Amino acid sequence: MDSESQGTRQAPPTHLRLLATTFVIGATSFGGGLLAYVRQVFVITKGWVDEEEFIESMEIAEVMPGPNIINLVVLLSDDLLGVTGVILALLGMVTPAIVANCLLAAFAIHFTHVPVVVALLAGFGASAVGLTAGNALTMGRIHLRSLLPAAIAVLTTASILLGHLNLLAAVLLFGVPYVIYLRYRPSGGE
Amino acid sequence: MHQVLTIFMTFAGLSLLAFGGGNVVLPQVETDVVSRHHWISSIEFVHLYALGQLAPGPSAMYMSGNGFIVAGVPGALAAGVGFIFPSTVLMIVINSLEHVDRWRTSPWRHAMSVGMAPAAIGLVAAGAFRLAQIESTVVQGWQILVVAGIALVVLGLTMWTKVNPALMVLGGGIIAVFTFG
Repeated sequence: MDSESQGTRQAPPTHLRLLATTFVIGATSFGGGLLAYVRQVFVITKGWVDEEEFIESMEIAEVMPGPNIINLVVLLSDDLLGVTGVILALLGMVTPAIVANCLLAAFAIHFTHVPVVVALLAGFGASAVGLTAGNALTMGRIHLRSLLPAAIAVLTTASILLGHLNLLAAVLLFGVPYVIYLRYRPSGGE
Repeated sequence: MHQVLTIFMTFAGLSLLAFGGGNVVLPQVETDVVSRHHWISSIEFVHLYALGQLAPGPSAMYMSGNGFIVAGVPGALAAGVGFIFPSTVLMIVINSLEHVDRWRTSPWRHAMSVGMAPAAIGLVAAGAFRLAQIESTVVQGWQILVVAGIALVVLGLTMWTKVNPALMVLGGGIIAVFTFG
């Protein structure tokens, strides 16, 4: 990674700096928006990677399995400081989340008999339903604009809910064939 | 120890199937932790998933809340690290390949990014349906209207505005407290 510096490209961080930076990102990002946050810090504030590199990494991260944000941070930190960098960056990124989830889980199980908490959790759950459905529909609005992809999505949902299809089968039956179809169909890209 | 290993393997097994982001595994996580391993009840799963939206960092880490209930902090680490470990190894391997640059222009990249989307959306939608099904069993009478109302408002806000999801979850909880209490 010793391409010509362009723009505000700076020297790579020290190990400690990378850990501290990803920890701050991991601890202060609430409700998603992590991709924009990571771009802001890595490209703009710190100048560790340039825009081009960031986009290239993003393009790989989003098609590979696993949480997109984790994949992206892995690629960026691997380019900066190798595998040690990856371990430190992920440590920073997920430690606050894991600690918070433990505390929240402990709260939920210790106070389940308190009526106010029961109501609170019911409201949280209702919001999570709306959020997840909203995410599916938002993605659908972008990707399901013709009959075939829309039919695949509906069939996937129905097979899981009614046929108890597992994740592996869903990927193999509804994901992989459509990828192969898109790759080899004569008309080319969309 | 055995249980911690089982937790790790359960979540690690989902990692390389999470095409399209962490949320596509939602229905499978529910099946695994509730029906297959009987680690938590279905409503506990909904609560932990919802609480995970309030935590900072990657939202997939709600999984560590699941692990925590089963086996404490080691369980939380096993679930959280398990889910990202295989995909991280894959990313490092891919990044070390000499021709990784060619990926950008490869016809496979476009085919994968577009082609996996319908199944991914179907999976997330199935997850949303499961959450709704479970949620509807824990509220009684008129409360179902409040819960459905919160879900629909949040759905609309998610689709048409950029309101922070953590704030929406918090808001839904507060509304429920005031209307139920």
